[in-house]
Amino acid sequence: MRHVDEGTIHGWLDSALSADEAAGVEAHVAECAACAATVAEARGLVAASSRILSALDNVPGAVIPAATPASATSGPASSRPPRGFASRYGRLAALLAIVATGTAVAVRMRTSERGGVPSMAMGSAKPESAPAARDSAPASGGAAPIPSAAPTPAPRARVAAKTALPALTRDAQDVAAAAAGAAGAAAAAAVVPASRALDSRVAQAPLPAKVLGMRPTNIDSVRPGTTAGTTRLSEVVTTGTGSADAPSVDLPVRTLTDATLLSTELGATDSRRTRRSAYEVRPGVTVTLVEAAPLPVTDQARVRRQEAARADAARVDPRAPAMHTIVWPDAAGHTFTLTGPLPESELQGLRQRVR
Amino acid sequence: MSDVDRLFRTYHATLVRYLTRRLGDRDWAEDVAQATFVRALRQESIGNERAWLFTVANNLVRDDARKDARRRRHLALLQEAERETVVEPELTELERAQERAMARGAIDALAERDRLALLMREEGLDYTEIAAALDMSVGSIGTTLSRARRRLVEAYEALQDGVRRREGNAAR
Repeated sequence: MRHVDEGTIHGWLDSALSADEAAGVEAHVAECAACAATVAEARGLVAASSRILSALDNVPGAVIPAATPASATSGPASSRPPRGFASRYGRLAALLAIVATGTAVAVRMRTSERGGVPSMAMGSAKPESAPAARDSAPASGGAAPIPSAAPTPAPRARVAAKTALPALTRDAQDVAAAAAGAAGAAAAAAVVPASRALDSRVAQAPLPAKVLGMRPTNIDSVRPGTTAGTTRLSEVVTTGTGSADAPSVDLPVRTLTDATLLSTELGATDSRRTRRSAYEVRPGVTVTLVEAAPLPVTDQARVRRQEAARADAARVDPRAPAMHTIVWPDAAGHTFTLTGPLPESELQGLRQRVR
Repeated sequence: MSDVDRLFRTYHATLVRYLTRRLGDRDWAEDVAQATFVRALRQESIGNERAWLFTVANNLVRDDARKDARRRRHLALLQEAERETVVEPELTELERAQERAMARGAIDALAERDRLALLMREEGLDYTEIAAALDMSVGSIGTTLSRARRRLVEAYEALQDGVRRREGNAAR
């Protein structure tokens, strides 16, 4: 008896055969063990392919680098781009090491704060981050938890660095060069093993590590953990890495001029996307600027009330320094919140410097 | 005009997903999808809509790659046969990224036509539509898909094995 060829079996499984053809295959398979086995295998291949291909979904945009990492003269098959990546973008990779380390350590810290419940604390309200910061701000200014956590996250950093290199934009590279220097003691332990590790091969896949809109004005002066309430690791969070749906950021990038950007974090609060940035306006004084995407009109009043309530709560919190908050919308309906240990009048003055 | 609305509502998501999987870049994928529907606006009538849309989308990708050197290099990088993924065991939060990297490596191990045929099949195109889009005979689609699926799975498993081997070495 003539066996059914594989192409026909796949056609049968894909319902591409005519009624007659299908009937013929079915009849044969019922009687032929070999073909039945082929059919079973084919079913497995169909299912496995679908599953594998679904892993390709949820790739964010801006994957194509503005400056192509591969050397201009080499064709696709000739060069060894990985080594080029490593040497050319060592500092860039170091930033990613910092990113992964910072993220990993942040998770670690928050896990210990929250009694084992890990949370990336995206979109967390201030009260959650404040205790974490305070508890991690011993005399050494927050550096203490970092070295202990660094050795373990360092290996994680390697993969983040490797897999993310092809995806970075020129902006990110500039920022990386600056920020790599600024990470300071906090990430030194992570940086060294990470850059050494990068000598080995790098994943070529355009993975979505994207360093977001940092526009540091004076980033060299960043000192992690200066005063209570400001201790925050340089949590430069990458979007898209491992996230279920990597949304493209539609928040306007606003910066506070004449201030040092300490950190920036994307998150969500009340179903609105937020960007939370911490700035040092003068030594020891940090304010937080939160930008939130617009809500449908019906929700705006409710959220404004909630934000005001949160601001009030922060004001009366006896453990915190006297914090004040001002809230204002922009023309597009984005809401901005500026919080800091400053009188409201001064916050209003700072608001003029938000561009 | 309402016809293009219907076309858009019916096919936009599947076209974007196909392009995203193919190109590994959501922005580019959405640009191409958008341009495809703009072309549809100018058509008096379209025979097989799905086949037409995918054919046009494929052509636009090819044109993009020709015009834009960066995109050409991007596609070329995607099409490199060699992919290596280095993975550390404790990276749970990057698991999805790892899978994506391996899937990328696996699909890039396929020949172009096999890859496109498989991606289109995943979007529900039938053999006739795939044949029309790729300018192949309907009778050859089954063989193409069987070969594509087998190669994809084998390549993926090879990458997984590579990962496991490295994990084993790293542990020593």
